[in-house]
Amino acid sequence: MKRLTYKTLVSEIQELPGAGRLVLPLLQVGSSPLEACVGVGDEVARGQCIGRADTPESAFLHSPLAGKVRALSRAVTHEGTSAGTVEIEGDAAGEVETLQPIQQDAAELSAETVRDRLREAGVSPLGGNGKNAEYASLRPDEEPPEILMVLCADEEPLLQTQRHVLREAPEKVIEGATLFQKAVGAKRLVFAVSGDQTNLVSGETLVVEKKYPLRHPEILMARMTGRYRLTEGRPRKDVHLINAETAMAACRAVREGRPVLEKTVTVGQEGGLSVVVRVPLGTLFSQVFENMGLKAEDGDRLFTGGPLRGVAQFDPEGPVTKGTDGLFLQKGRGVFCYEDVACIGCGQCVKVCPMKIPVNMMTRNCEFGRIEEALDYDLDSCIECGLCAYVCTSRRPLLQYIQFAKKEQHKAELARQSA
Amino acid sequence: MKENVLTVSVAPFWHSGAGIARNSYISMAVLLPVAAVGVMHYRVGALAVLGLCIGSCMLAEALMQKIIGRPVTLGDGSAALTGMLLALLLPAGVPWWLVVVGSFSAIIVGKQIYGGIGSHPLNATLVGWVMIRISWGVQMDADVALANLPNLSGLSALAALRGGYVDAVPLKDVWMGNLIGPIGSASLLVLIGGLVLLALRVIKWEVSLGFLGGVLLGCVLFGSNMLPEGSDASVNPLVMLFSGNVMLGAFFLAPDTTSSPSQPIAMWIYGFAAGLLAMLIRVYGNYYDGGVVFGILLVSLASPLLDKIRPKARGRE
Ligand code: SF4
Ligand code: SF4
Repeated sequence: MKRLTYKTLVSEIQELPGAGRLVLPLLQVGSSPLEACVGVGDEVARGQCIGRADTPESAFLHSPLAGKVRALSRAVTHEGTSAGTVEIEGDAAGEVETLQPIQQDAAELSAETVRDRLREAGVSPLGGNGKNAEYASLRPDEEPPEILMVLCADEEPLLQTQRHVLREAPEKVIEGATLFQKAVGAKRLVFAVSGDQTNLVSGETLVVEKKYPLRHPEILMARMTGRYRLTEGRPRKDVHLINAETAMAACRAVREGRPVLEKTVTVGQEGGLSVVVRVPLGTLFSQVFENMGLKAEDGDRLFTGGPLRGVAQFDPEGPVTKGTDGLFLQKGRGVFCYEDVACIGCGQCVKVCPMKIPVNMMTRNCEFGRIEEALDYDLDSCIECGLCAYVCTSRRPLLQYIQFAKKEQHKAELARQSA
Repeated sequence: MKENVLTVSVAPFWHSGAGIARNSYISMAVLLPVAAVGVMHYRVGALAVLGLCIGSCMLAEALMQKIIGRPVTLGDGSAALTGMLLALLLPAGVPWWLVVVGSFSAIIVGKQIYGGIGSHPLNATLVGWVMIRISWGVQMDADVALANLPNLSGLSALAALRGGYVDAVPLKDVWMGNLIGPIGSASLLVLIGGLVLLALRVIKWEVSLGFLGGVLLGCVLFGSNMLPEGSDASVNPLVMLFSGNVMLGAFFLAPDTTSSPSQPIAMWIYGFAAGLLAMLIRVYGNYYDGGVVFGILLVSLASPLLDKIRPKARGRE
């Protein structure tokens, strides 16, 4: 059995300047949908705003390259929703168009100033595959959380993005975290770090463990408060969570006026080496792989995020977004497939579930849409860590059943409300 | 440019490598030495029973799945394992038709009519054994069945104990299956195989240990009642532990994935209760040779109920 632990640091972050065609969805993690504010054929400067919205939970989008707008269209994002896209062709020539840097101490700044700057510079929670994005909210009308947690380690095996970011610029991460704390109004700031990172941060720390899924945001947040939440209590209002890269982006947005133009991504082929690269937002997956001498071929599986909670991609021409922490390729022979068979009751899933759910019974009900029964078996405690599917002897797609049931439950909920 | 066709699926994209087929084949592999000892003792008689059992179990499974219109899943090895276990519970020399009836009962009545693997409330192997044991008790008696084979005499371990001939069952012979009895009597080898399964996490170890615990407690509390009244000899608990299929029960029959519970505490209770019941039946019951079998079967009935003993999920505390 493969051991689900996290690898440690191997190299520096490589910059991939990128040039050519970028595709930028107007829907990014942690932001409401944006409106394009450029037209087809427009010249854009590097750092120029190309997408914006007036809602308080929006984070603007900027052109990572200097060039021309080729097209405005729609596409399915890699998180699975349909959104407008801006297609830009250009290169990394020229200076980045920045906003006015703000130099006052965090203590002297008002929360509103910081919040506005973060919005305008496009700082929404970076990474986490869009899955922990919801844990930080910049809405001014929301009750400030007790704690802001900055996750400086990576949630899943294979991923090394966040720890590279912290190692590269610890001062910026700390500074940005302080600014973000100001923006959300949290009373305490906690850095969640792995044992060997403690010397890189200052202030309150939470040392995270090496074993999956002990770095899952829900588990970390419950460690801070001593309480777990059911689905309807999520996202938590008393603890917010951002990644180290978000903190760094916040620091650059405020101190240098620099908008978010790049994403740090762990890229690799399963069984081979992986590297951490920084690429312009909107770079196509195929481009990123090509730079490493890799290519997705028929039958391969390409996924963003980590191996346990990631999302499989149907299109090798999909773009890197603010949520893309990892980008991996499994070659045809190594692709594991689920089977449509019955649960044999081996109990492995029950043993492995961090939430102590009777997974065997719960998923049997999920499979057939028996939501009430699934809830009796604690469907709403599940944090979707995926471990149950990882160990399943029958190789049932347990996480799919769970996600399906949660969707059905959500739909039923909506129907009840509108009735 | 031709478009790529990628494989897509839900996460996780990794798997531990566990599988039904893997479990079946590992179980069969560790039972091979046990079967080999049986064949050494009983020659062709044992070989015939083994072959016939495995063959007819697989045939029954394939036939039934064809009739129901489900995919034929012989490849997962579960029918073959059922056949092998059933053979190890039978004495060599039982008539061939009995073997076939037992195998078909195991697969069809014990498993397929409920919907196949994962759905049967009782251990299929045991259902098959009980059907023929109750219907054709005489032919199933090891002492009788083996009388047809040359060069063998004596009593099975349990019969000897019931008769009070404590000296007739030395521990060494019990370990290696030298006394007459079912084909899978080499209980020391069964134990070793079972430990391999534990190490590879193929079976529910809580059930196995609970079962052995239940058997031991039974031995200590009332084991000597097995001897005829008035006998002042005492029964070596180790002899009790290694005779009468206890080891097969502990590692291969009781932890059957489908008919045993999955919650930690429930697994302990299930194993323990089955072990204790096995001892009760062996010491006081009529079907003393089937103590282990009946013990497990009866407790399986309570398995869904036992599974209700579970911790509160996180978030509900
Ligand atoms: S995904 Fe599976 S193992 Fe993880 S919390 Fe949910 S039920 Fe438990
Ligand atoms: S691991 Fe799979 S086969 Fe085993 S009890 Fe859980 S769902 Fe059933």
